[in-house]
Amino acid sequence: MSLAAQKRSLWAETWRRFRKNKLAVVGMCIIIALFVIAITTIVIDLVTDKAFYNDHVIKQNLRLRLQGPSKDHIFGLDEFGRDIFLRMLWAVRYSLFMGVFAILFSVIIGSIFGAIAGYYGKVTDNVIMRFMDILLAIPSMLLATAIVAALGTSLVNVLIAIAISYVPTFARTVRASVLTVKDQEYIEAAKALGASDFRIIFKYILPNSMAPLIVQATLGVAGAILSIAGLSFLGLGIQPPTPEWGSMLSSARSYIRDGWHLTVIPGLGIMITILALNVMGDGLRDALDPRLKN
Amino acid sequence: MWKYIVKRLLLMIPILLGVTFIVFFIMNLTPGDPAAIILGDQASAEALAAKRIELGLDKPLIVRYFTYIWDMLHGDLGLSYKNQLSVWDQVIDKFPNTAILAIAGILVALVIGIPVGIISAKKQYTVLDNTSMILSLVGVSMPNFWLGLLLSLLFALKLGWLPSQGMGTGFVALLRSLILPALTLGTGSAATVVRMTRSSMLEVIRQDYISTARAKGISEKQVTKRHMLKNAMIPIVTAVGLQFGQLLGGAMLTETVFSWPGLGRLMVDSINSKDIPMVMGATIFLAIMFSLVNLIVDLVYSFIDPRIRSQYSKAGFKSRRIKV
Repeated sequence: MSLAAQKRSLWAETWRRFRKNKLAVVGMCIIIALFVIAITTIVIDLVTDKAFYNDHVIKQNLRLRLQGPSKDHIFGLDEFGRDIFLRMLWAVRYSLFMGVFAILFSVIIGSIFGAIAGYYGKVTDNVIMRFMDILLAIPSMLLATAIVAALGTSLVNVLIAIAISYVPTFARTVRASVLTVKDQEYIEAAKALGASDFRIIFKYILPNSMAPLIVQATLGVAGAILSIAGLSFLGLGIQPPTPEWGSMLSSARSYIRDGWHLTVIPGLGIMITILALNVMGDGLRDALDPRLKN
Repeated sequence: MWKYIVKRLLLMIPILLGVTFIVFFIMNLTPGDPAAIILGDQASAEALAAKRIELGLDKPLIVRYFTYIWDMLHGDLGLSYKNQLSVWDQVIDKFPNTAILAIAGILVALVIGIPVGIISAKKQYTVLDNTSMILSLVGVSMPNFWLGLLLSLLFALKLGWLPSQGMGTGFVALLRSLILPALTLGTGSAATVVRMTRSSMLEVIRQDYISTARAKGISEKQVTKRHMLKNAMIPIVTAVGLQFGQLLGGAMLTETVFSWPGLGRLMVDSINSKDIPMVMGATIFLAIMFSLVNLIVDLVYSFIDPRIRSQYSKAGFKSRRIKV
């Protein structure tokens, strides 16, 4: 039997276990639904050349401002008379894609650092991991805020800020799993066959780190979305009038007396997304490593 | 034991130097000329050049860094761009307010987290356990600034029981103004502590020595307290220590929601007014506090667990910090 077939069966096995966890499956469905919403709104923007976005998502209608939920506007209208339901939908892309991209970025950087540190050991390991220790010694939200404060508030800077603050987590995860496999015989065999370090790391070592990495990344996306919302709430993230959950909450703060829906709804959006990612991450962890489950 | 403490303290020095350097480096990436920010647009070229020399901007980054550290050790973090006041004085002035809030937050986390976690573990898979697990999942997933807004919506605006803005003076007023921010800051941590306590207790609960203790006829209360909790304490202390650090960093959001006059809000205001020395000073100060809390947590371990104590006297320092 080939190695590939065995590998597939591991994932099939994981999926079989994951499916049994109803909560985790619900979480996954919510995340898939959010992706569908995000992509649909992007397609709508592309097809209508942002006409729909301009007319319905950011166009102000002060006559109807702060109106509560009704049949026409199920989530009500905000302080500028914009439909909150539509703004919620258009905001999905920022939270979701920025969270995913930021974590993807830190997974890549973190894995490279972690793999090099674990594989080469000694001085290399010490230098890289002590640097990671230093980054970890700054609370992630504080680090992200400092970076945005220095570089200025733009989508890219927020992304960089969040990504950097998560690099050490992934470097540690990958390093730990590299250390567990690097002395195995198949690595020795690969070396004996003359495989380069690069090939050994990417072909034989990193695939073995996938399980903990996937779990960490899922939970990391949840953390990243919270940080993005937090930065936007402080006015350091995505700027109005662009709809984003954190900045919607930030502007709702001034109208907290005038309409509860302004405050409640964007927060619910954030919470449901994070909740879905958390239960999915927990489910993945249990499915990938059943021994951990108590 | 003392050898271990001294060793840990010495190991702090490179970490702190690293932390301050990273923050210093990041802050120096800020576009724009500090001299122009201080003197305004109308300043002449000569005045700008003079100001730059006065600020030491003509020197290389690394020299400026060590000057900064040297000054910091002497209680000088430079002058604020905005009002030319000492950054150090303002940071020291605001920090106690943040500390009060963080301590109150951690108290909320402990008072809710540990008992609920214990009950949850002892009654595993009952309705009680499931409810507390779902609630803690919701607690972990809730952005704390949103919780803050909801709490002030309910308790300050609708019911009018508690103030939602600012920090009260006098003991009773302070306490009243502290309740909502502390709940806001502490709930997320409480949820983490519940989960940690539960899983840590579950690991201990099935050990043979628990059966032995029960067989000896020790009351269930004593078994829980002395045999289970004491052994389950290490991961709980880790979680609490980490949460405390996160609270110092996360206080920014809570302080903004409740207009709490702390370091976090000072930082946010300074970012908005591009007051770099202020942002840098506050960030470095908070990062140092976070490292100190981590150090204290590491030291507390060795007091509560004799195994770690003996391990350290033999094997030396091992890092156990985990990011959550």
